[in-house]
Amino acid sequence: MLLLPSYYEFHNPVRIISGKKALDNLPSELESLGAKRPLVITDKGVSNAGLIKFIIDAFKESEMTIAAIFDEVPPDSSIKVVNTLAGIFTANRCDSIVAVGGGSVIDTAKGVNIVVTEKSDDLMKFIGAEMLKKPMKPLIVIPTTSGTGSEVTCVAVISDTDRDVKMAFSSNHLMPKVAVLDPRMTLTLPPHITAATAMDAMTHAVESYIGLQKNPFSDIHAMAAIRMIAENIITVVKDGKNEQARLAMANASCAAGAAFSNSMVGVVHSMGHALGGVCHIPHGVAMSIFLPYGLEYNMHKVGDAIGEILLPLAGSEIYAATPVAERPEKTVAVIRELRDELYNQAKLPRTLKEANVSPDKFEKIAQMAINDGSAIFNPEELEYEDAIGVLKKAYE
Amino acid sequence: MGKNWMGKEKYREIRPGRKPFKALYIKIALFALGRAMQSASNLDKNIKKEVETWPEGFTAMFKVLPRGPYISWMKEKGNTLVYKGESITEDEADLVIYFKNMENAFLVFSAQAGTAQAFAEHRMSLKGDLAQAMSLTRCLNIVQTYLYPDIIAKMVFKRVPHIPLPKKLFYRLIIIVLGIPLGM
Repeated sequence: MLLLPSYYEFHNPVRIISGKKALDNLPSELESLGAKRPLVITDKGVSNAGLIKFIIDAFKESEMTIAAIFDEVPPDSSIKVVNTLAGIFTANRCDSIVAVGGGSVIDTAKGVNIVVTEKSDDLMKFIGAEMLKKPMKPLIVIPTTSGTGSEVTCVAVISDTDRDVKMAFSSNHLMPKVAVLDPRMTLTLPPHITAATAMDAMTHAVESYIGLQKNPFSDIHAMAAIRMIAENIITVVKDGKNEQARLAMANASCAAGAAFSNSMVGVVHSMGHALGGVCHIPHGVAMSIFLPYGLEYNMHKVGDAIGEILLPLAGSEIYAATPVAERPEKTVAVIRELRDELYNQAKLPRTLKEANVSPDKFEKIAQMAINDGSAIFNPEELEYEDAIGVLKKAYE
Repeated sequence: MGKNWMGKEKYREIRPGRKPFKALYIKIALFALGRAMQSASNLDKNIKKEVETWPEGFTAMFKVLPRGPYISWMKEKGNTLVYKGESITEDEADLVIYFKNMENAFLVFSAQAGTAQAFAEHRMSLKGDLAQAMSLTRCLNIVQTYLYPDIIAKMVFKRVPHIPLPKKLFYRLIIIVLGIPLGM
């Protein structure tokens, strides 16, 4: 029986445009938002892959001018580049933002939107949850990876390298207005990044399905995402040019983003953020490493929910053939098999040892993990010794 | 303007009412929590460890939106956490945990919801650094473990912080007899 939480909130105001030639609707979408001069924000990876051409082509025969294109966003969104972009936004009389890229580009775009809306270059005043009160400039996001789900989340993380802090912002005003999912934008992703980002999306969906604030609406998004990922992940890793599978993964990532943005993530993200912070392991790789261990850690609390994941993950035949009591363990086993396949296909590490993480970093990672905001939303409490335990299990 | 069946004016404005008893309850609960936290920070080694990680002069606040009540603490010299009541302003505080309204605060302070649940349900919002908020939350969990009977603690927390029974009872006595009423 589906148990309704005693209270929940679900919010996803993002218009999602998905499919063939979806990008070509960009000018009309901007127009309907009252925008005339968009600032396009992207990074070198995207522009070197030739993807900006699709954006420029989309504006041909329209009556809209791209006010500026900035393609120098670094891998970690920083306040310096945010302020530079805010200056360009003002100088070029921009009225809207189009973000083309992965997590850092999208976070940077959200950061620029805070600066130009609040007219303040000191973002420290706005860090925290729900501290931003003003409606922002129209933001359209075109993801070029299928993993972060940032196109439908209300969160941005910007680092201040001078003060050595990562500033986290969470506000409904940070939500983009439109997400454009066009299969052309992910066709050139190499297999390793495809695999890592897909496991990021998978983790979003899985953790949101077992999270403290899961609810019927987040569950629907999470289950749809898990099914699409399970059915397409190996195809996109083996055959990156498969447009249908790429589009399915873009949709899955977006659905998983909507799910976790509402029900939140847990221990896998706490550990993964910390591993990224201490050892600079890419986020998707960290998610893939910790996912089975995070599920095992929560098994005694949310075993039923973990068992339900088996249906979209492995399909109806395996689900029906597995006794109810064995479904939680089977879910973890199927995820392990998937990781083995991704290791064989794309050398995606399965353990901390395979990712060259030294055990002498464990204390620092554990300390950072328990201070990560996602830990509070995990079904089970995460204390320092618990985090050390997860790290030891994930080592080899 | 016409009159309704009660003889009162129709379409008149309705100014916000007040909930004086709930406000008083929350004010007392916040005061008790504030003093208990100060007292426990001198006793419990795990709270001391958390406070050690905060910079000197660090101020944290709990506030019920939009008008209060609110309380604050400050980390002073010698790693001590001092209850500051309402003597610190919202702008001065480094970390503010807001309850969106009085009912949400009442749920938490009447032990009907834990901090994690309240955060997950968006009943609370936050100004400041998330890592420090996590540290403060762990301290609160420990303090509430001293204050709440075990049966309530088990309902409110994901996992009740482990404190040996004799120590828990002894510290509970100190906090309730000396800490809250006398600020020791």
